[in-house]
Amino acid sequence: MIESEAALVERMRRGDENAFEVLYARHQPAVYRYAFRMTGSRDQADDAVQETFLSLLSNRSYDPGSGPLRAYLYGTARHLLFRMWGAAGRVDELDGDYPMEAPDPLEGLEAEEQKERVRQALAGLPPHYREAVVLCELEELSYAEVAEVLGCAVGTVRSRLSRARAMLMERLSGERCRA
Amino acid sequence: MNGQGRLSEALKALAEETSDGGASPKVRAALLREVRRRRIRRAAPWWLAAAAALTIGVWLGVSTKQQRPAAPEMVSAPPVMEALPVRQDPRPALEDAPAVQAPSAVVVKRAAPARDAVSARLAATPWMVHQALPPVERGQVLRLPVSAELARQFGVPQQSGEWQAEIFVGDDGLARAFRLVRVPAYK
Repeated sequence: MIESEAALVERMRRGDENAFEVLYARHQPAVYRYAFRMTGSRDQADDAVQETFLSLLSNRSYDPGSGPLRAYLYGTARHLLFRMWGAAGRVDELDGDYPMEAPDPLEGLEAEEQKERVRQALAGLPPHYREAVVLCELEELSYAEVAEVLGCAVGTVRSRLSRARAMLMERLSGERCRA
Repeated sequence: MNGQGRLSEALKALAEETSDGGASPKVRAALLREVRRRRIRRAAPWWLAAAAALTIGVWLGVSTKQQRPAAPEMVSAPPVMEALPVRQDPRPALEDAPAVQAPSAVVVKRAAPARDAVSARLAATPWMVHQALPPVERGQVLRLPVSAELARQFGVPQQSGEWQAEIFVGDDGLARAFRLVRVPAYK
């Protein structure tokens, strides 16, 4: 019988090393990837993982009834990162249309160069838009899962991702023009 | 492939590139230490109580051996009648009076208690401090119920109510001081 994550968390809080090892092996990679993709820094990603699991150990705010543990951990890591950046909890949703069929800024570039340019453009996005790309495109979470992590509606996730992609294209185009 | 398609491809490549790896081993080690610390913290009351009980048990054993009041000493005394002065009764003794059998009396001499008896009005005995142990700056006071018999051995009078032992246990788990406290004092 597979033990529930809530039971594992409870055991871990009581000092059960095996429960900790199971939870850590199961969720640490995702939390680390998310933090690393958001910050681009391995040290900051390490800090985020440590703080996230410490929070799970000591904080009673995890409620198994309110959603899966993975969403709680993403949410905690996200909160820590935003606090670290001093970013406001609210996001100003950008209005207006973005040209979706602008000249292709990646055309003619080698795959490696495309990747590098996208990495740089992603790092330059405002955090709320960057995380939409990271969670939906890189972490491959469903819109519903991302909505749970971000604490917003699924529609908001869709529109934020759409705008984030458009902003990426715009930045890539700008970069291409400067080059 | 259009621009959005290339962007998706580039994002996929970026995801693959960053899909490996994880937090450094020191993160896991730090978290494991915290988990162990929590286990020890949770277990502390058990071992602390066990250590305190053990120390107190040894201590009480030594104390009672050293300070236990001597058992009542049974001494045979000469017949009381012989000890009485000869009665100088001016009246003549009745010749036909039955002879009085002198009773064989027993005098009970109770040895003085090693400690002064605690007044029934007092709420607590004085602290008994273990001088041989190194001093500590912090600790906890534990309260344990004690039997009437044990309380009596420490000079607490019978019929003085229910008593508890207060044990000051240092952070190192060793009991440093001990006293008895009357329960009604807390009610």
